[in-house]
Amino acid sequence: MMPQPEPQSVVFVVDDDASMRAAMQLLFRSVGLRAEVFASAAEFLRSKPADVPCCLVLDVRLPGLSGLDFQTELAKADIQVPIIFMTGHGDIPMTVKAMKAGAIEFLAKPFRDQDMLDAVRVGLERDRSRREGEKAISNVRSKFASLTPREQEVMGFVNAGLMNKQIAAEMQLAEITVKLHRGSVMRKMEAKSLADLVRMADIVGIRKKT
Amino acid sequence: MGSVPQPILSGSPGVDRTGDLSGSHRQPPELRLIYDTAPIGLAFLSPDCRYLQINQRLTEICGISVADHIGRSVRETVPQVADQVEKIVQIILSTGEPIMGVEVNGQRPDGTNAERYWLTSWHPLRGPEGAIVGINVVAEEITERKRAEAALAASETRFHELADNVSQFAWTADQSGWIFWYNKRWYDYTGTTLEEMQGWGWRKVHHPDHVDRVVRRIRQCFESGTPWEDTFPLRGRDGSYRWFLSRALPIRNEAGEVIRWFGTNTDVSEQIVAEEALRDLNETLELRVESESRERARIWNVSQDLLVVTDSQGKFLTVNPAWTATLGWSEADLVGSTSEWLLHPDDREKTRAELARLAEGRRTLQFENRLRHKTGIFCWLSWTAVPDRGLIYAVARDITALKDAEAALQRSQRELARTSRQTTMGAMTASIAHEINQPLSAIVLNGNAALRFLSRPQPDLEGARAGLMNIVEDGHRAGQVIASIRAMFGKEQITKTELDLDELVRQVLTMTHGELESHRVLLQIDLLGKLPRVLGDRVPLQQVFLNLIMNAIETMATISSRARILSVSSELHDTHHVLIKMRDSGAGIDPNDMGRIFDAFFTTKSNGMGMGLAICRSIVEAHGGRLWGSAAIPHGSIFHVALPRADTVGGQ
Repeated sequence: MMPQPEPQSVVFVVDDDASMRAAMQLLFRSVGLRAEVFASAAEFLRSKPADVPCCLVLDVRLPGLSGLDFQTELAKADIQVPIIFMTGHGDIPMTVKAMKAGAIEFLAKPFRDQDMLDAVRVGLERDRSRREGEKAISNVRSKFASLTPREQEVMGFVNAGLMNKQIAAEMQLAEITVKLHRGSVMRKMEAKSLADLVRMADIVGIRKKT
Repeated sequence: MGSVPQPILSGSPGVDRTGDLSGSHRQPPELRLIYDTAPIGLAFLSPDCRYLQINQRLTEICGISVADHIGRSVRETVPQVADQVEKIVQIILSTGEPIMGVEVNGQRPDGTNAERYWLTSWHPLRGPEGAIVGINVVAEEITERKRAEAALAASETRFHELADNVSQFAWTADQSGWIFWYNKRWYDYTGTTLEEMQGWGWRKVHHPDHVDRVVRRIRQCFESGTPWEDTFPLRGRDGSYRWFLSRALPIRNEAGEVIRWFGTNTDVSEQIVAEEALRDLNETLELRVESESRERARIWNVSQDLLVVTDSQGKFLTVNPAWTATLGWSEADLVGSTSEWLLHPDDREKTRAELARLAEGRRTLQFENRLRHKTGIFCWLSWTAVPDRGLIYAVARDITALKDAEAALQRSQRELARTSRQTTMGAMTASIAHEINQPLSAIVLNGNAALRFLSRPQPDLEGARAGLMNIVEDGHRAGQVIASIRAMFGKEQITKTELDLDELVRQVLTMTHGELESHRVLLQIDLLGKLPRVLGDRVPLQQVFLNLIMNAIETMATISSRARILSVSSELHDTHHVLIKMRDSGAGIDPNDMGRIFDAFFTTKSNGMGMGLAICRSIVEAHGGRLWGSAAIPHGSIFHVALPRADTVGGQ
């Protein structure tokens, strides 16, 4: 049936013009994208958007907080969402400012529908990979948190490149005990190899014991 | 006559010999002659003061003859001297000594009572027994001498009185210059004494700066015997100095030898002070005259303003150096001609007129013209000029820089007006564009979405329908936007008052004056000025005319083959309307476009929005008026603005 390339993603549209909102919603629907539309920045903030890959299409001229100011506010609040700007009267200084602040695209109305769809696709992809990266990191962190203090300590020495015998000497344990801890670490961290474990150690920021 | 006493002639032996005191007859006749004719008075008195002998000379005292004297007493003959004589005789008789040099005086018996004086000597004559038997008297009349002495003393007194009382100082010196006398004034003034001053002592009261010169010069005069004159200060008793003019003359005897010097010192301090004051005054005056003329010369020379004196025809007589500095021409270039040859062609007429005014005796207070610099450029000068006794005194100031600044200011004002007009119009059109843009963008997006729905393998008709429905809605919305723009200039927004349309158009022309000038558009105004007033809102109507004028300017900007003329006229259009016509000489409007130029978004300009005339028409129609265009013959177009008269109810 219909292609569902981004089943879980959503495009947020903020524009004070009702016909633009309707047209945008229909355009995204025509390519199978879910779109949620808002008449103002405040309205968008009041909504509780689902935690899925998303991007924001903003009209520069908005009632209340302008699109550019809104972009600044979001950055301040550490809300990392890719933004595509639309403007009825684009001018170069405004464009430069928006792009410098991290906007994906700046489109002057009336724009080509394909330009908008391409920009949205880039935005969503960027958000998805950001989210995946964040997810992997938090996954590693929670696995690390499940380790016992001893196991975390052993992981630190392993990360530092010490042999089991050396770790045993450091920790004043029998080498066999170190071997058991190490096996437990590999299993709990779901590490496929020593290299994999070292990469995860770097993600969680274990200090290398020497 | 008694005997003549011998001693008179030959001493005592004669007496000794005769003892006869009255035996004159025994006198030899020659002795008698001498006795009688001697120029001195002689007498021989007895001890009881009777004349034993007397000579002719002595009888003149009383006028009694010699013979009548003999035997008679002194008291009888000359009673006026009797007391003196008797006393002398008494003294001789008691002392036995002769008395010499006794003055005896008495009045003349001739009734004149003039005093007479005699210098007398008295010698006793002793008889053989040694007793005094007579006294020989010798009397020399000294009346004349006494008179002379008295006269001399009086003269001396008078001289000293005079010398002491004149205002000058006086002094006398001997032939060598040794001063032995000063008058009282000298001492009163100097507070000195003769001891201090005599000889050359006077140097003490001289001023140290002058004394050497004074001594040198007076010495020369003393030596050469020439009159002396000098002026110098002398110290008074209070220590202060006063100036004295001093002179000395030699007094010569009959032989021409200098015997004395007589000198005076006259206080001339006041004169000196007055002289100095006068000299100072003169010098000051001279200095002032000199400095004033120097100042004037300096002003003439350093003035930055151009100064010129011309004759009544304006012919240059003298110019100051500022002319060369400002215009480059030398004095020789300028003097002798009028300014005609330097004048900007456009200024000749008015300069001649101004000169004529000056020739009539009127002043020029504010007059500007342009004179050619030697390099060929023209300098703006601002003049003031005054006619006086057939000449014209004129001052010109170079105001070229001022004029340039003025022009620059005008340019920037024009620029400002244009910018603000563009900004206003720009903001308005931007706002309108945005309003139109929204539904337009939505239409494009909806169309695209609908196409996508339809182009799916299984066309989504529902989606396509939604898109098309949106498009219909957007179309309506766009219509509403236009309607609201019209409404913006609609009747509701207009506050009508009574207006003088001519005046309003004039104001707008004033506002656009700079623009017209910079585009070299000639303005022809034919506003009647007495047209009925209209009802209208000043500001939007100004916008209408402003827009029409700017369009006219723009359309003529590319015309170079003919004059760019904007004609503005007013007239009564019909019974209800006043009409303003604006005619340009531009490219004109294609007859095919004439019907569309008032449509929104229609433009023939490369950078136009196509809103100006549409808005203008909205505004005019909101006033119940009409705005239309027509072609002008042979070039350009005419825009007509008809607005209803205020005095006809409701207008058209």
